[in-house]
Amino acid sequence: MKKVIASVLSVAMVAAIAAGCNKTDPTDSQVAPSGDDQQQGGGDEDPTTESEETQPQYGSGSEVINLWSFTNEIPNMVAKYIELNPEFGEKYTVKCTIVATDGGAYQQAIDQALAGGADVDMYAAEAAFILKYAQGDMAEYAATYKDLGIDVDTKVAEADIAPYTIDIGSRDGEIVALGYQATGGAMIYRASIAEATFGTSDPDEIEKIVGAGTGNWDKFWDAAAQLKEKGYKVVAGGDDMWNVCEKAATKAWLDKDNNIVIDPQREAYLDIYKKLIDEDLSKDTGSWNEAWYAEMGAGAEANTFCFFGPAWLINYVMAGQAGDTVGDWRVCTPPVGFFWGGTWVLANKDTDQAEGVAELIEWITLDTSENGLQYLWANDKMGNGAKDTVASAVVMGKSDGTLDFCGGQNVFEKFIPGNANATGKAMTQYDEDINGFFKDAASKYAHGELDKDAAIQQFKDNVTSAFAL
Amino acid sequence: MRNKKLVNYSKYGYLFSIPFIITFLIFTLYPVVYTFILGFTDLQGNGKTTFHSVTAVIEPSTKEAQKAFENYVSEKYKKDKANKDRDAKEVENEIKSFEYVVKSEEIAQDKLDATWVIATTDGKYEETVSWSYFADPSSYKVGKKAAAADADEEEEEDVDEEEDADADSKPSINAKVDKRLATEALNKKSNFFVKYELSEADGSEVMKIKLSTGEEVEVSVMKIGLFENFRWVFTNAKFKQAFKNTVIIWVINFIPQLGFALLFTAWFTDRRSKVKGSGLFKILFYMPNIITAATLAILFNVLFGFPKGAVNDLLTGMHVMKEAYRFNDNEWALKLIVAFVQFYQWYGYTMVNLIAGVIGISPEIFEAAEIDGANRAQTFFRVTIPCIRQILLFVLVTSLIGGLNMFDVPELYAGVKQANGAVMTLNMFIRMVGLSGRYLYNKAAAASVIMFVIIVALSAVVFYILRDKDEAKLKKLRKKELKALKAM
Repeated sequence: MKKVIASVLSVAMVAAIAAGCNKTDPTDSQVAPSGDDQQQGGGDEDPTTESEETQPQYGSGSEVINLWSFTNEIPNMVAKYIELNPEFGEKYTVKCTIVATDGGAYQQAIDQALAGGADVDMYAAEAAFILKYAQGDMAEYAATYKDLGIDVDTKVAEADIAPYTIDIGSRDGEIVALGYQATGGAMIYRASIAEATFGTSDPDEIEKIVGAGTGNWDKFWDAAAQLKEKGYKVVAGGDDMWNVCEKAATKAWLDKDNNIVIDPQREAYLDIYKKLIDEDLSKDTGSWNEAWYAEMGAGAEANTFCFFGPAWLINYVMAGQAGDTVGDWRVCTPPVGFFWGGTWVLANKDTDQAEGVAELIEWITLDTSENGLQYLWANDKMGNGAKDTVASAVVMGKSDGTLDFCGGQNVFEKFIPGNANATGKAMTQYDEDINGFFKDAASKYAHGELDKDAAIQQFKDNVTSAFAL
Repeated sequence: MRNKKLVNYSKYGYLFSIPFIITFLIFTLYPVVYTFILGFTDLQGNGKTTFHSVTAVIEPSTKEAQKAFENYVSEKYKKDKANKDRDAKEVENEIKSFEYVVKSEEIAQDKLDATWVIATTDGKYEETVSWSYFADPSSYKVGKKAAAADADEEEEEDVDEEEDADADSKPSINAKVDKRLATEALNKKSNFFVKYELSEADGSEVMKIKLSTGEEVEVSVMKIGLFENFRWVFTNAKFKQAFKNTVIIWVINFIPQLGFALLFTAWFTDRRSKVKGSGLFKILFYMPNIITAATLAILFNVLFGFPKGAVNDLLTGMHVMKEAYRFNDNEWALKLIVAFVQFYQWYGYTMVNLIAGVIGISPEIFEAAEIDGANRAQTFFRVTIPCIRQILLFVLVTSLIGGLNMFDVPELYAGVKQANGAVMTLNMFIRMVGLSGRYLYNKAAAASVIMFVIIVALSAVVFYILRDKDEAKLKKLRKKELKALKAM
């Protein structure tokens, strides 16, 4: 009897090991909630699109296109394209490899694949690390769109692609990557709180009150003081303001000689954060944690006026957390322009399938027809329940951006000018880590633990120590 | 005949262990040795790494290069006692061999074929670069001419020596570049070396390369050091902080952990009083060990969240605190939390190990102690603990190794940046340097080796302290006897 049990257990153990070897779950789980600047291409945490497979395959053709990405957004796009164009599916098979970005896993995987000469035809990069693949250490592996056979110059002008997408995706003036989303940011505010404080919730009126498009925060602080009198907080925490300050900068963290440069817009964040704490204008939540999500919802304690973010913040984050406040939100232009996140698509310069890859990339990034991905993405035709802002202003112009979440407001009207504000010239490859250090130093200064010079010095010391500069 | 059988069995034992030895060699020894070697290279970044066996890792800006050069000269002069008697100039000239890193983005492929002139910044000395074909980059040596790999090389050397002899009267620059390396490096967009020797110069600094096309190329100084990576790690503020944090967190975690484990061991193995349900207690105490670090990190983040978290709500609700406290931004709060999580995870495991050890003690010893009139405390400290020496050693060493390797909980709970690196441990530092940011594999390798050495040293210390002194003496005696027997 004991022998039987023992043998059954050992067989079960071996079977478990064998099963464990084959299945690799895509980890769509949350990255450590503290400190990490989670940059989303949108849809990372959408539970409804989670799939067990990390190697989905579409099409049944003899030519193989290898696609690497970190979410199943682009594979789903490929599936849609094959649905709309069956002959593509008959000619090509697209094999997708999905590695989540948690813990830098995607970057490591794609770096090894590219450098080792593995079969990578098409790959994606998120805003947090796109610079490395378009202009930095790994840029040599990217093919220019021109070399793929795409008539980039005309098409880009025709589609009126947001300039910052082009800036970030250009290597030596040639486009190697384009994003399909436009993640220009806007101010997303609660209409009911606006009514209670300012007497109006009309976006145009609110824009005047907060000084939209002025490039400074002066009127915004006035509005914040008014909100405070009525018992509301203007933002949830310092991190909300950070996204705006960081991407509003015009100079990157590191200059040509790898010296640390602190752009005035980013340095201003130190005082902005301190003002938020000293005058008690925020709830001092971080971001991507329970308290932050709670501020998006309908709880009795949720009394935050606004959030700053692109369309994906609404579609993929706030929609899930809003509860009763759906319909109570409006969108208007922010005081300072910024962008946040995004996904760019690149092609390997050593690809054998230049034609097929070019076809896919063109459809995803440059096609402005009603069957092009941009139009489908912007008008909730992809079946994921979201209307996202896309890179092509032409498509945005002819798309319907009315969202129930925003009480029927056509949000695209506000996001389009937001895209114009974005610039990609102030990014470095190491932004994610450097931002983390800066935010920590800012937190210390804002909470009175260090004075300003000490905080800046701590930031510089940390960056030099960590990066061997 | 009996002896023969014994010998046979041991042969089978060796045979059986061969696959494990091979596995050890491939998967343990080789990676450790390779990591050690990596610490002496400039391997960094992804994919486009050029692997030089001479470390060339500092590329400071021009101003710093000048300073570095001056410091290098003066330090070298001061350190060498023999130099006190020598002419200062002579020493300086001896050591003025630098390898300059030419940043390859600044030279296009076609320019490689242009004539190069290396000049000092004050324009006093100039030399046309001679292209040579070194076979092996590892033959670069600071201050010495590269070992000749082919005839061309030797010829050039002879020629140069002659030139040098002639040039005793006038200072000169001897510059060589490996064209093949340069071409390869340009294709891969990485840096390559320009080796030069400046003889009898008077402090002039070579800082530019002029091409025959008239363009000038900036170069930056590279400080050569075989142990450069190790030096960088030792002097790095973050490394020192990481080491300090690791030790502090481990000590805070380990002392209560061992204390409670011993206490529970004493209670659950007491011969005089049987604790009812001790089996259940053992299970409950061991359970925290099977919770994954990720789960614990999420749990404690929820507990200590700000502004809304369980602990904050509790303390403000009970009016112990007026308003919520930012636990995750306070250095010591973070350390204590992480130490607590580690303690909470591992005290059960330690307890189970110790109980296993105590159970193995023969009851006769306890009976003898009882007869001798020892009370509980005396029995525990004078009888039990000395008898579980081996298990205690195992517990101490594994806890030391695990503690110094601590990574999962602090990384998932806080990360390297939280509260200015309050809970950054050694492993987290290595990951930050080597597997994120600039992917400085060489420096991470150096730090790994240093960590390995520290752990081995501390483990050896623990082994030495807890060695069985009597048994060591017995072994020596036995060896002597055997020798005497063999001699007979």
